[in-house]
Amino acid sequence: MNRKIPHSFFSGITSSYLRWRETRAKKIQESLYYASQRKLVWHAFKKHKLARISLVALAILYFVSIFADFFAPFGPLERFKDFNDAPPTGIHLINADGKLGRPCVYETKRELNTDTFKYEYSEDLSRSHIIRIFVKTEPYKLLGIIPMQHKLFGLENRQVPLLLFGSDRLGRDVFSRILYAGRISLFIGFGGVAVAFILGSILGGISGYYGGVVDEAIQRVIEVLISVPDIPIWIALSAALPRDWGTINIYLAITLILSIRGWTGLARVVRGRIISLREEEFALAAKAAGASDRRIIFKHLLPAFSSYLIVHITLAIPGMILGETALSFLGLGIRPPAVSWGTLLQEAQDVNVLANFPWMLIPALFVVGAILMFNFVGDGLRDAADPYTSSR
Amino acid sequence: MSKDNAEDIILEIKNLKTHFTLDTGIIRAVDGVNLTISRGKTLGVIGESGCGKSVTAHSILRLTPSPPGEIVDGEILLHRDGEVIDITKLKPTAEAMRNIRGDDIGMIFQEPMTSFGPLHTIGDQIMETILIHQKAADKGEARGQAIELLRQVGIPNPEQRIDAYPHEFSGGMRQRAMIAMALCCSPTLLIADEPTTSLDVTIEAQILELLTDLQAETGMAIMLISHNLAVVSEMADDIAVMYLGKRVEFGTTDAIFDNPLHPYTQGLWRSIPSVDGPLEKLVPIPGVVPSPRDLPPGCVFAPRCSEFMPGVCDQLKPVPVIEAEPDHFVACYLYDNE
Repeated sequence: MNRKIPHSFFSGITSSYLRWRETRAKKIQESLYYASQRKLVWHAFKKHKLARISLVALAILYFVSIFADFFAPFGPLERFKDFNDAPPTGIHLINADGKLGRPCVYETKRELNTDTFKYEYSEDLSRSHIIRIFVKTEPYKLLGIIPMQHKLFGLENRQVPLLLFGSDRLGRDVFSRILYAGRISLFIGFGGVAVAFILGSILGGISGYYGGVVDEAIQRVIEVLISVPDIPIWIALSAALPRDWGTINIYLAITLILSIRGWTGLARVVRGRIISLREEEFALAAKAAGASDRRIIFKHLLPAFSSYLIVHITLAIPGMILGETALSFLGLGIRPPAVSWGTLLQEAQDVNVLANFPWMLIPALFVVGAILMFNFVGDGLRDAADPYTSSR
Repeated sequence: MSKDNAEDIILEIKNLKTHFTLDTGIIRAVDGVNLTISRGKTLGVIGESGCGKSVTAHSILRLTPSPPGEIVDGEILLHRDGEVIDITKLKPTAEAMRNIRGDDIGMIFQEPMTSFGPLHTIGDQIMETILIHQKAADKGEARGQAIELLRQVGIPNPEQRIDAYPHEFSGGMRQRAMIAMALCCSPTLLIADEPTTSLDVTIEAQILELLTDLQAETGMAIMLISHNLAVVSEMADDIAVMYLGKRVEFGTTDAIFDNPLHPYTQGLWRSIPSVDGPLEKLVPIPGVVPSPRDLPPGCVFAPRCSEFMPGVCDQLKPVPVIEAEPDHFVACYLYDNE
């Protein structure tokens, strides 16, 4: 008897749980019959697990980059003297006494190895520092507006280095620099894509809607642009940027340079869609009702494939990020002291660095990660964009 | 018709020629058409497929895609408040042309299924037309007008249906909504390009009745394009018969039905079954409409004509205005006395 009660009790719970799941699934299925397009797209997108995870990860990455002031333990230009090219600091949960404690770091000692003439870093086990959350620092302004004096984590003694990803040649914290660099690298994609989107939809729309000579001209321009190799044209244009421009000017200029070719693909897509849509009777009907061409293109025709445009844009952002990284890597894009992932990688250019200080390559992981996640999100959106045709 | 006073005329088409220049040659879709439409009257335009009926209608609103379509000759004269506007002289994209579209001349299309954009509500699309043409109207007023129009065309419960999307409407309702959209600026002329072709017969009857009622109410003229002779005979005051871009016969409905003169019109008549007459074998017009790329040298109907006169019809192009009897014009040498 004793055994029977819990058994039936648990089976009761399981069966009611199963029933609840079933009715829930049914409810979702039923709600889809009269769901709006947006809901359908969201539902289809949620089914794409990788895309969902990537979207969250990207959101976190962007959030952390925007508020790098708070999340990064140090400023992008803050130097630790005598800690050039230091390896990542070890974080210990088990302290020197062999007991489990709060995460702590040991102070790092630097010694010159007289055989190799290299500096060697070792931990000084006698001096440990506990990593604190919301540690107090010198006052600073978050985004240049909100006055704050705490960082997410750090050591109370700010003179002791806490280098998650090691430090660079000048003793700057690579982790903090990666976060700050995300501000430029992640957002240059948006700027470039925005310009490409505006140019692409306007020129593609005109080209497709009017046809004839205008179409020919625009298409030939596109063909010329896409037949010029990327890197030389970028190099030529960025080399032409004045040396004395500030970071913001350079940033905007690089955005424009990247979008010079970015719009061509979109323009072709828009043109093709417009050509097929302009023959629809509703386009003729709108014209017969006295609507202007501009109105017909942008109010009646373009929105008809907005989901497609969104997917295209999402998949175009990684290209922009890569473009910026490539330019900065070559020393032609963002210039120091401004940091972008490309400029960080620029420091990892020579063999010596690769062999001895491999942590300098960590920014590349961020580039790869961001690009992959954008591609996954784009894939998910593409599948979701037309929820009715997705294979279930 | 010409019986009417000159000031009652609202649209005159004189020798209109709309040609399409393609790589393979020039297609003379409309090749010298003359039509006159008077206030409050209905002009029926009939003919087989590919006779230039729709191109004529599109030319009036300058909707033919250009290139390749181009009005190469002729005049389309719109009479508005005493002034006369030649539509062929306007640029298709000009402000003046856009004001004519929808405002002076409304148009409804063959396919109510696809004539509304799928992205915006019916109400938004009707309001769009109102807002474009009535600069003073604000959104609230436009909405009120749209509801009133939908009620006028017999949409039940228009206050709610105005926010419906086109896919939520049936074909008949969509055609009604289309008519409401065409009427929203009280045009003086409504061009109905095969308005009932894709609807079933009961809905067709309703739509035609609606058009007749609205015409009685507003006094607008209707240009009814159809290949359905029954529909045209029911609605029209005058009929123009078109063949290969040419107007072959023009007269009052009674004249055309009781006394068809052109062999083509006679052929059309022989090819429809009669409900009350004795059962007869239907006689189709032999042959097919020739390609507009290489037209026969003389009368374009000559190769299919039962009254073909060798030496005349295959050499001379008939003058379009032979007045065989008063107000009944025909383009055929059978009726040429000279």
